[in-house]
Amino acid sequence: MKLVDLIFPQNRIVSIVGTSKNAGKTVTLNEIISQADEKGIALGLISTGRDGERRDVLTETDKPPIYVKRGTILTTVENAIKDDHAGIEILQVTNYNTPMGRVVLAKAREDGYVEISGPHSSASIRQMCVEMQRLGADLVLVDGSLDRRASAAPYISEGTVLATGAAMARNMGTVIDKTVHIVETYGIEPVEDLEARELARDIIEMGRVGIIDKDDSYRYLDMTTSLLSGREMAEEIDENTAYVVLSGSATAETLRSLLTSARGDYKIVVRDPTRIFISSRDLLILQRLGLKLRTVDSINIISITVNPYSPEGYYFDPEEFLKKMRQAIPQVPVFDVMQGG
Amino acid sequence: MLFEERTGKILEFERVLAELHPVTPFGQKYRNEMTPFLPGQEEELLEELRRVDRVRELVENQRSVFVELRTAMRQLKDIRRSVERSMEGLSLTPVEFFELKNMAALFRTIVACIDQIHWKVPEDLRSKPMQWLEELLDPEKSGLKTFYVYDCYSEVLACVRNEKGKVEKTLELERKKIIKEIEEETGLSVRANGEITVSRSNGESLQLLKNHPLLVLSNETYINSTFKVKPNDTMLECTEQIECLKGDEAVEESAVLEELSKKTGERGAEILWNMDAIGRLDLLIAKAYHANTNKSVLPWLSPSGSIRITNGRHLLVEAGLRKKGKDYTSVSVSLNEGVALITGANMGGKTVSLKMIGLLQGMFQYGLLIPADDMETRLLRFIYVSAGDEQNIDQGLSTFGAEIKSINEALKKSVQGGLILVDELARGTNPHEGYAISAAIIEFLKKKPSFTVITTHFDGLVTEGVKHLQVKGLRNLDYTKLDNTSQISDFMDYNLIEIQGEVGIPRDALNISKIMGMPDEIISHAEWILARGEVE
Repeated sequence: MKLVDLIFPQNRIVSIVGTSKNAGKTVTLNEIISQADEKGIALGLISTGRDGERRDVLTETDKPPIYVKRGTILTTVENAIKDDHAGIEILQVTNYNTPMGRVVLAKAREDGYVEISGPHSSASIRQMCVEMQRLGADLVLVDGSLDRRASAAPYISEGTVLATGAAMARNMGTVIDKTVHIVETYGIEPVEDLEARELARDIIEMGRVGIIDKDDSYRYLDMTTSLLSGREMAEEIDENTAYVVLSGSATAETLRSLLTSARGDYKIVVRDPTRIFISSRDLLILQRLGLKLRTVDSINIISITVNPYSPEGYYFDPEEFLKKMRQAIPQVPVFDVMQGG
Repeated sequence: MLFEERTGKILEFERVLAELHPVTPFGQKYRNEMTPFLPGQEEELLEELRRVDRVRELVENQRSVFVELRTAMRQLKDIRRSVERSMEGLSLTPVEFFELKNMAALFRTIVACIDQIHWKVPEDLRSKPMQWLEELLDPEKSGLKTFYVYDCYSEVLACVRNEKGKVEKTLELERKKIIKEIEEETGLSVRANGEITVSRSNGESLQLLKNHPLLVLSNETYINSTFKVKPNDTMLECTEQIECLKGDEAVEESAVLEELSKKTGERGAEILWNMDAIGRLDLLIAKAYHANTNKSVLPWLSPSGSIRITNGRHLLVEAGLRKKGKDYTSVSVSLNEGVALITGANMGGKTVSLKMIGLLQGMFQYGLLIPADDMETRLLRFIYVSAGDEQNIDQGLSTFGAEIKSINEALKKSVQGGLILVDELARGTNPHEGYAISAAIIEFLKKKPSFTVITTHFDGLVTEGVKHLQVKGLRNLDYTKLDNTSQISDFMDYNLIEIQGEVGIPRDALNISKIMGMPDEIISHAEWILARGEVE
């Protein structure tokens, strides 16, 4: 089974996200592109913006161009359209502005290299994805920039390919542990009770903190941010509380002050796993304090790709790395795209 | 200039103009650059007003056409700079041509809408279809709104691309053939990018690949060796050809873009003219919408040269009251050259009426319909307002000093024919001298060819030849029915009536103080003082 067979046609918008810089995201993306091409899948490509990434001063580009096939729909920006790249047909000039000019939707008229880019906000990325589907893309690939794991959010993509590798840490065990933690965090279950789940979605959409009781009645708390206000939230919790819904992010501090101030069998709900910022050590402590974390939308990890090489010069034994990663995460298919397959 | 910045601020004229909402960048530019009509431009003003009134009527009757027109207009982008660049002989980019192409399509929609309007739209508002531009940028007549440097722009380009395509195909076939051979011979699978990686511990495979004539080592680490397909002579030749053809293609593409830019530039003036025509129409429609929203009417050029406003409304005050759920009392006023005094109760709307006169005159001169039942006036050289609360702190002047300084300018200009509006003349000094100065100023302005309106509390300023307008105020009020929950505004009659002959200033100040809850002790003492004064 090839990587692309896990992706399509089950998913129509898929993000590729790296666990760190040089985790092999671009190699993974290129591999999916060429596999999709062999299968004749019409592709759409977008990247989650350029901000935050270091620029190569010499070439004025911050990303290696991507080789695409004729007919590929792509999102780029005005100043990334260059003579020596593949000829592209301009389909739309959007009103989204970036430091590199306006965001443009285009179609490759021939095989060749192109630069892909995209707007800044999640909402506009999502909109561009839908627009590319309308323009004929069967599968849209979202190239998540470094540390923009938010593109894995279910709000943007239906599934995520997670690229991880030696660049994350010098020790193979650490890389595997950290990857397992990310996969576990992404795998946090959605709220079981469907009615409560929709209530929680409403509360989050209002940008509020809310409490849902066991009889599905709910109320908003008089605070807009859930940051560091765990103790205040705790005052509102009683034996009838079923869920505490946080519209922002879940951090270890908030949850610790909440859990130590109010015991009970309530569950804490966030929008999706990208809103959870808790290290594996903190998570263990919080779980012993009775933490039960749930999400409104879960992340579907389609596959994990591993890169045994670090640009810093060290490397892991590829076969051992692949094998151990597969053992540590048996529930998700793991590939080494460098080694072929 | 019709009025100084200070007067504009008092009248809040900018806020009124900000209520005009043209939808195109071109119309917005015209709005920002609006200038008033001045004496001598009566014909132009009348034409403009007639147009606004005509469009106002059309907007009511053909709403859907105007909605369609404005929808198309709203999509126009300000690409004037691109057009100008093409006129300067510079080459445009494909993104710029894409935008030109879309604009040309919008021009077509706009022209079609204009044709549906039941009006012989004047030439200067009538944008022209740009079929030549649409054809230039859609050479394949596909009707699509996308843009690409199409093959059919140049035979050379078509040839180069065709040739490149052929060579690329040959290269691909050759590569696939070799990959197939390698896979059959080695039993290993080659990745989509033409590479094959084996572990260095796999000595057998490594040796096999190393010695394979069709493979070449491309990357080596401690663990792995990566090989890639070694290009044979045919492939090398193809690659070289492709590179060469790509160069030719880029050169030809920029030649095409240059040629298209030249053709666009040659007729660039037509495109710019269209943008301007749309801008003018856009602003006109905005004025018409504004007039409809505010129930405005077409004003007349007064044959006698006087100013007459029937039920005029101060738009900003009206909007403010509407928000509070209150009605605005419209006010009528009739003025001749010379001086008119407005007297009357405190809180009787004297200041609002004064500003309303200035605002409506300003709107008239800016070619806007008038929020009134009727208005008759003429073009004036200037509008001057001096009102209450301004104090020129910058120049270290007191209220009185600031007033005198600014009124001097108005006195100087009064021979030119303008509108001079003064709220509470000489209020900032002692009543004795204030009265004297006021009387002298009125005497001076009485003989000037300007319209002067002054609000005042001073008795006895009305002399021969001065018009006296008075706020009706609380005159028909039964005070016995009042309690301290009453609101002055509920009982105030803001209408102005013209007083003939000598009549004293109405004494509403005590009544109003009473309504507003001033202690009885003080009120009765004040009444006692007044009574004593009158006895004396």
